[in-house]
Amino acid sequence: MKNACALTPKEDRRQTTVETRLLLIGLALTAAILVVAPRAAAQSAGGPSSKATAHPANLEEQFSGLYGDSENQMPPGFPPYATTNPFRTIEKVIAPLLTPWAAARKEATIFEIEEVGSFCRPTGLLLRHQNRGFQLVVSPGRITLVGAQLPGNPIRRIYLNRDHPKNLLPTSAGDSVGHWEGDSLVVDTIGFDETTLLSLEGSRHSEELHIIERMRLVADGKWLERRFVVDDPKALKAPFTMVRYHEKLPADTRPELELCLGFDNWREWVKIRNDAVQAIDEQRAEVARALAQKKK
Amino acid sequence: MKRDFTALIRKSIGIGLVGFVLLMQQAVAQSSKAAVQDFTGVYESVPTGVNRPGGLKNEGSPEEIFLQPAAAAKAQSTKLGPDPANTCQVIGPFRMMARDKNMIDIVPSPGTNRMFIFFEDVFLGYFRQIFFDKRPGLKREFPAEDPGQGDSFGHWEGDTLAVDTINFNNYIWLNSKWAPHSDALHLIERYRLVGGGQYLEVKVTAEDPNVLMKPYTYTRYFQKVNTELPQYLCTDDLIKPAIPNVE
Repeated sequence: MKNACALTPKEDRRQTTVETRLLLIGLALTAAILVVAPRAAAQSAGGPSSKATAHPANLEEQFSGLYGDSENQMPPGFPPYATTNPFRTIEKVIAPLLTPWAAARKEATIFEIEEVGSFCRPTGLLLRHQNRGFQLVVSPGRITLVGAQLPGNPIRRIYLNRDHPKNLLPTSAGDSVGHWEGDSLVVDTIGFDETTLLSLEGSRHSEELHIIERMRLVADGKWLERRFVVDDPKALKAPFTMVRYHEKLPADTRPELELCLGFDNWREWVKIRNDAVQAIDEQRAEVARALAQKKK
Repeated sequence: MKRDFTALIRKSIGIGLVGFVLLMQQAVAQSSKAAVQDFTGVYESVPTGVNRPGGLKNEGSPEEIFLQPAAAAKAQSTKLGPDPANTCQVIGPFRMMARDKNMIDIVPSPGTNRMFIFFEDVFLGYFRQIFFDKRPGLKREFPAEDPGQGDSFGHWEGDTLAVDTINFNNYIWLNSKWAPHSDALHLIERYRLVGGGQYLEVKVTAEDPNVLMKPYTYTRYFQKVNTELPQYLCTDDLIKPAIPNVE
């Protein structure tokens, strides 16, 4: 008995063709929605916001975040802090390297007066900046390090899309440019003025100070390692190195920002600063007199 | 076979519907994100008194606020010496956003749910952090060295970033004439891009029912510039290292 629903081979082929077409239409519609629609939606969003949301989780973004202080801080399993040329004892490394020029400058330096942090000025890379925590913020073409100790280590920018400018005006923070080498951010900083110090003992640097810093994430991305090579042909007979580790903090951490002085003292800052400048001038005159006597 | 045919049609329509639902979900998500503007960049304040295309013009000033009599008397009797703006001290966001010759650098940090505003005049403004997470309790204790920027929280209203700032210490004044504020000071700022994205409009409103006769609003425009943000460290030229003449 012939099945009432049975189709002839011709009907069967037609049926198959219709099925295939319907299936293809359905799949094509879905593909169009999934592939084309997001692009169209992104275009309608108007650029910047879609750029922000479209960023893949790349290395720069992994670096982004908040980092704690480095003093006495090491990732688990790493060699002890004492092996990294620690902040408070690095003078043992630096002192033998000082040139006569730098040694004379150190001799003439009164730390309480000339450590610019004493009167709330930016302290450069090698004092407070190396051992304090910071926020690392990534934006197109640059990385910004934001410290919580406002006058001492406030803001440092590392430019990723340019070289050092010619005719660089020296500053306490210098000019930092960076590039990526594998998993490391290599930062080259020059253009320092001579207002900051190399150590808590008052070792000095010149405007030829040159710091190369290699930053990378270690310990499963939970710590930032910073390896410094510090060179200064005028002040140092040879470069020295140090390593610092900063633990990554939870993204919702809010570092308590601090001014250098409480506000009551802060209002006296102008007087403090002027007293310091006067003391430096007097000291400079005294050194000049001593040198003149020595020449006689 | 007819049943198979019907099932196939249903299946095809079903696939299409799934796709449609996904499209709608993405459309909803995109529409909410589309409102979020990217303010990233360096901006220079438009000088007060200058008209820019489209009628963009600064209006108002912190110097024009109206104080209640008691607050006005307090301002009159405050004798703290020179204006903090002339002695390299933090002046707080109400005055900072209004300054002429003001360069700012806006840098979002989506990973930490905040946005930074950096100032060229480092010692007067340092930087502001605008947080996008849930607003914590209204009041908090200040450390002795609190920089006076207040606590800023942002949210999006269409294409406008609305920022509420509270918790100012008592060393921040509302203008150069020592206008005081109370614990109730609340700044409301509205940021949006105008002029084809070349200008940032900033409307700043100060509310303080204990001090101000009524809320006061000023408007500033910042033009986007293709430059790095310089850092002006106030009076660095006065700080000289002692350099012995030993060469």
